[in-house]
Amino acid sequence: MNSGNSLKYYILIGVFAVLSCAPFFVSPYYLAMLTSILCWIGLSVSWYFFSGLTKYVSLGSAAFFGIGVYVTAVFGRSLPFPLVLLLAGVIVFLFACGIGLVTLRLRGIFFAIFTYGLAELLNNIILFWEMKVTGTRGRFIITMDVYYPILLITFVALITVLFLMRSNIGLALRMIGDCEEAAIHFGVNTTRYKILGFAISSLFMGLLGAAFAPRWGYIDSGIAFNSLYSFMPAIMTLFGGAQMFIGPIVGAVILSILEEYLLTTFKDYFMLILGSIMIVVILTLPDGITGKLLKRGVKARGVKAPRTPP
Amino acid sequence: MISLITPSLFLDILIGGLILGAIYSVIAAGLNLQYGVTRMLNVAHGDFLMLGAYLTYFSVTLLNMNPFASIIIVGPSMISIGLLVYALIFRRVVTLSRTAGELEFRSLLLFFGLSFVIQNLAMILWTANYRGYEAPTLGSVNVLGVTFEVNRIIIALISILINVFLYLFLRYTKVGLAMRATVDQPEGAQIVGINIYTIFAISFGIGVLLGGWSGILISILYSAINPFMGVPYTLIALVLVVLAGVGSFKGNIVGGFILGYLAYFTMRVIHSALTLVVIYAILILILLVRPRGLFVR
Repeated sequence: MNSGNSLKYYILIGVFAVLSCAPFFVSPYYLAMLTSILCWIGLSVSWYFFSGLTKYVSLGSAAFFGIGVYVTAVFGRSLPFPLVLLLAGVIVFLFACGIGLVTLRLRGIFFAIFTYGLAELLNNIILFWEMKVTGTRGRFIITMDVYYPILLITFVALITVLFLMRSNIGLALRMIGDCEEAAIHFGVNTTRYKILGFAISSLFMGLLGAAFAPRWGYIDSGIAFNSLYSFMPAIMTLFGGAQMFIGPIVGAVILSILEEYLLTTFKDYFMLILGSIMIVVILTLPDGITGKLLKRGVKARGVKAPRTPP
Repeated sequence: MISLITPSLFLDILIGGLILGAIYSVIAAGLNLQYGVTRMLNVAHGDFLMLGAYLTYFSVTLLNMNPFASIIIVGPSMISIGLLVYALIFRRVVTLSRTAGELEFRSLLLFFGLSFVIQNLAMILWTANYRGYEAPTLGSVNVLGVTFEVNRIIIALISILINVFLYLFLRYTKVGLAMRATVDQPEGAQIVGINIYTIFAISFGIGVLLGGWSGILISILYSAINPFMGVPYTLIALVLVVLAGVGSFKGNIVGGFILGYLAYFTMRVIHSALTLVVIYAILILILLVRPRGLFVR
């Protein structure tokens, strides 16, 4: 088991090394596409780390991503970029701790509604603020190539999640997902781990937002807090399969390539097709692609398939 | 931005909030019923409202109907749409899910997908332009220097009437009794011989029907029909379900008026752009203080 896990680290480092050479070989169009794919992988894996393990479904990824975007928008010109990222990380981490502290008592559907409302609330407040106080709509921000920052953050996110999943916090989160009452009885301080897990997951979303923002050059609250950033990580994880670490990565790669293709060829039909994909995936692939393949592989070897955790 | 509260403004808020509250309670009643019975949270509720508004628009412009009379077209169509959607999508997820939590979460994402599909299908079919029709006006009444259109008052009365009928239906019919039993104790309901899948389908149909009917009322009231008009109403209905508490009919009505007054007050006295912010603030407050809802024991 242990050797299997260190193998994952080697594979990750190898892929990272190959990808860091990509700008020398790949055309700008494909580099931009690669940047989006990496960003989606980072978001999905961060989402998976908290929501996939604990089954507290968060639809608030856009809130943390958007805060990151706005930190870059506000401080991007006055501070050096690494400092902007640091600032975004600190702000999002503290914000997520606060949100976690007050909301993680909510179970199930209410937590999902709350987090969904959070992104919309921030969007509306900033919209009102810009309309009434600063009298602007949106703002221009620094532009630069963001391939390396995104690659680095996604890589750090993957390594961190992989490491934490085997640590106390990952096991505690998984136990909370399986049966929270049992976890409490075993003496797990569930509140502490839930807040910590939520904050770490949000931290990476905020960092990705701050790093991705210079791609746009111009942002407004609708772009920064677009609900797509709340849905896609959840859908990508479910599509790939929420049982394994590789699931959100597989889901993010396939769906972001599909998104890129649809947005360039059938722009008007994009949301319609995305909605249909959501419906079909949930109805036909309840355990995601990796879950399906795992079951099939196990069956082919003539072993009884293990009951996947619900 | 903040205007002084004069007697006429007070009266305006008193009646305007009442009208808004009555409509809100109808919009949320469908959602509350669906979620209470099936434990599937219909975040496409506002999109069914939008479909109802478009159906009213086409009944008025193509068939020269009175918008209030379009109820005879909107009613059967919405029930059929509701039952069809349930049979095609949601019946499967009910049997597929192993736990109640899994069902809630999967159906939530299904409804978000459905919402994208309905909105964008409507946009492709009918474009994103705003549409409206001239509702036949019945004049207006003047109360102490504040004028109210008679149409608005009729809309409020119809809303209250729909709530009364819904109450009588749930209270005195066998199906209503079975629904209330399913809300309280899904397993117990099955043990006493209630086919909860039929009840699921019926409550789903009624929820969509109520969404469509509120679409008629909203289209008469605002006459701004658009594929994405439903989203704010979904949010209002969600907040109202949380405020009232799941399965609480009384809470739904009282909460509707609370929310209606708050929204109308914000619109008239503070700033209309802050209405959604205030509604979200209420949602967050309720979830923090009493996540079970104000009216659930």
